[in-house]
Amino acid sequence: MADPIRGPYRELTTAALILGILQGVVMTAAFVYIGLKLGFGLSGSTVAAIMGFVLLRGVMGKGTLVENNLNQTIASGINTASAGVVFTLPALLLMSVKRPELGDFALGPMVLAAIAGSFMGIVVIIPLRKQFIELDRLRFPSGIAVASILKSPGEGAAKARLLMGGSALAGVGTILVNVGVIPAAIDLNAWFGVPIWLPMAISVSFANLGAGLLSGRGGMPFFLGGALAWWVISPVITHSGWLPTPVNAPSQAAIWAQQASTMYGEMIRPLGIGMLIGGALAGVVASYPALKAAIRSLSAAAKSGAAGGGAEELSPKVLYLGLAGSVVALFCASLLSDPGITVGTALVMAGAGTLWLGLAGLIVAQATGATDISPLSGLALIAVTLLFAITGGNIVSSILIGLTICVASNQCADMMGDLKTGHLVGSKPRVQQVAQLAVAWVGPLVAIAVMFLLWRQGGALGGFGPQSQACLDATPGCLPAPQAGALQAMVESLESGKAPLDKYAAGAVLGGALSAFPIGGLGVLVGLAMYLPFDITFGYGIGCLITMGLQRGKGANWIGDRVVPVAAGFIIGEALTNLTWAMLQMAGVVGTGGV
Amino acid sequence: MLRMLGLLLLTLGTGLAAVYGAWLPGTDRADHRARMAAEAHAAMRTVVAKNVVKVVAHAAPAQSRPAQSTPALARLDRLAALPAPAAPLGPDGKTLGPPRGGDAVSLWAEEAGVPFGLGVLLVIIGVVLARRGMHTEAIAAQARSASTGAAPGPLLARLVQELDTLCARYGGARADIDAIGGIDANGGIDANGDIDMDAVRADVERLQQEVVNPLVEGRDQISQEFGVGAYADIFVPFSAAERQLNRVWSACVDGYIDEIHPCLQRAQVSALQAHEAFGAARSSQSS
Repeated sequence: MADPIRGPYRELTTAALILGILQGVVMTAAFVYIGLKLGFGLSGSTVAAIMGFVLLRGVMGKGTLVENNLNQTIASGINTASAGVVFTLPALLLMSVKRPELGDFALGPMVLAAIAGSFMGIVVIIPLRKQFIELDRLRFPSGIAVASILKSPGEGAAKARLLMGGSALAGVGTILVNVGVIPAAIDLNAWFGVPIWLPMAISVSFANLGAGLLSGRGGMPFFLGGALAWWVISPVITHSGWLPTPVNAPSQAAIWAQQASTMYGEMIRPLGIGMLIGGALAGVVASYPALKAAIRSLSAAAKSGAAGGGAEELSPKVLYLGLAGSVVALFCASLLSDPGITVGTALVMAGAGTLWLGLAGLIVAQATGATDISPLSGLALIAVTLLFAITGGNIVSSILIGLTICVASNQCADMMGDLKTGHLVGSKPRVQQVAQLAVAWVGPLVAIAVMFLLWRQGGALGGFGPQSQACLDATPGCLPAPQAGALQAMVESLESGKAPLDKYAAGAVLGGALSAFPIGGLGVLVGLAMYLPFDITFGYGIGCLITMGLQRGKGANWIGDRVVPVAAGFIIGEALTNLTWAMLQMAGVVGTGGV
Repeated sequence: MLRMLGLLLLTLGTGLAAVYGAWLPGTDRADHRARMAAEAHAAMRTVVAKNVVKVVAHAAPAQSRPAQSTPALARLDRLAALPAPAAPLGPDGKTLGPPRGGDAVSLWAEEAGVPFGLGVLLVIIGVVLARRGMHTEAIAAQARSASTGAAPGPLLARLVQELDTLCARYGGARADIDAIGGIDANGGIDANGDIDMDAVRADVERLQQEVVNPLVEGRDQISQEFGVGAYADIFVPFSAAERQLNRVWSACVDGYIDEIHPCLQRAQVSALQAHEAFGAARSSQSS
């Protein structure tokens, strides 16, 4: 038994705050670079939890589980801005190479919009925490994984061994994938000669498998949505002759490959995005009584807490004030973003941006809660499309709102995961939310500063993007900025009027209808399955099926004791290995295609 | 049975609606064909140009065979003779592109709206049937589990009762021990008068396994039986109690003895609120 310690329980301490901020700033700078180099975002929660474990508990000898949860909440709350910035703002800079007028945008409104997004993301989460964590009981696999790290001192040796074993296995597996010994996907199509319109590839990702293992039966709608899209709809569409046949394709396989690409990019994926929107909207209506009860309980908790001197929940007043403040900040940012924006247009932009953000927050919370996957690029795409229409094709202003939505959505996903961890270790939600609100401005500032620093060092062609000097010379310092390139391509397609509005509309109707089903967020989950490549959904689904089988044979407690630590280890192991790998790539120790 | 029928209709409807929701209207397909033709043309030019470079590089040192005789250059000639793919024309003689904005939606609705609407209708019928079926099953399950004590009502009652016991054992007993100087061991109190935190943790873990987790697993019964609003009224305070129990567990691991009793008390209050909300939901249902 631990020696008894007298006095108040250590929670939000100076040590946790300083360590969290330091880690957050360093990780933000690193993640901006990694995002521009490799095109994906990383979560800092796992790293921060381990560092907190070592420094607060190991070195200082007095860190508590909830204190480390606060440290990790602060650190990830800062670094989460990096992905939002890297996915959007660089697109404007890339376009400015050929169209210099786009590079003359005012920086102030961009910074203001990003900071407003960071605050809005946290504010939106206040009522959603009750909805998704307490009522819908979403799993938030990464949140469980981080909680497993935090709780490891009290979980006993057997669980610790399983956690470490899972991490080690995932680490080794991820390295083998990265060096090319194991393929990134098990291509059953090639093995069994199955045509590509019936995709059977399974992504080799331990984190993905771990998320499925943690989700179990609750994750099945996501897997079944993918199966419906790719094992039913795809063959029907292919064999109905609805797809245009490529000209001069050398073989039937090449025709199918081309058709599968068209089907995913222009039919199923846009339909999935529409379903995400419709599903989230209908979800608000379906769960309105529960949301109302959640907000009522927040008010009651705030009042009773204020009376007793220890409120554990943030008051709904913070929600209302935060939303009002964010609308004002977005209005100012929109108005100042471009001389062509009138007061009326800026008002509509701020209103539409805030409404969309509320919906995007719902989508992100449901998607990450069930699958650990956030459809960030799809949400930014819709935001930019919406604002493109509102502003009559103003690229700078559209990307400004896209930036806000991206930062805010990522903040939602991160805050939800941290709150799930907090629920599992018993942290006070109010303390977590206050801590994250206190540092919400840091991440956007650091991320935008680092991004501009990298851009400016590249001279006239810019410091990143395919047209930068480093990429033209194919030097190791090349930062291709793939996500920003994708947004650039999307903006250019919007300019030519190619937004698939019909698919979005149809998807929204279908997603809305599905969300009336009494499984929370069915429309969003099926939409997410259509939005993602099937190899990810397949790998996740296998994890769900394994847990369901084991639960039937061994019972729920066995799953909690054995499967949860291993699955958490898978997520931790892959996250840490990929982070280390990315650092090694940046240092030039390993190449982008392997060692 | 009703639930299965609902699920079947829902699946069929989703499939039908998704297939026609993804439908590419005729103009989109025409645009695709034009784009594919252009891409194929460009790709062929690239391939041939690469081959020409290879052939010239290969042939130049030998100077022995005329470049025109190579298959690659023959293909280049054939390519040059090919007409560039023309963009399809609309009825007004203008080049067709993909439809824009509202046109895209109305064109899609014209071509695929009916089967899509049928699919959505099937989904809605399926949802209604499944909801009814699930409601009936939840009430039947509630009746079955009531006899075994595994139903939400008895479980909530047990949670309240067990938390009362724990509060008394680790709070009330502690006050007594403090009063008499901490000389006795009584349940969770050790010889120094401090709470035995390993014992508290064991009690909390038992409560989580035997009461909290089964309640979480059986939450659908509550929402099916009483509706979403009543479910929220019950599960919000229940979740607060659960979080306080988690905090007790953490405090035990960290050794923060003074945190244990206040958290148990808060858990007790929240559990009582959940139990009362359950009672209110039950009485409003029966009235």
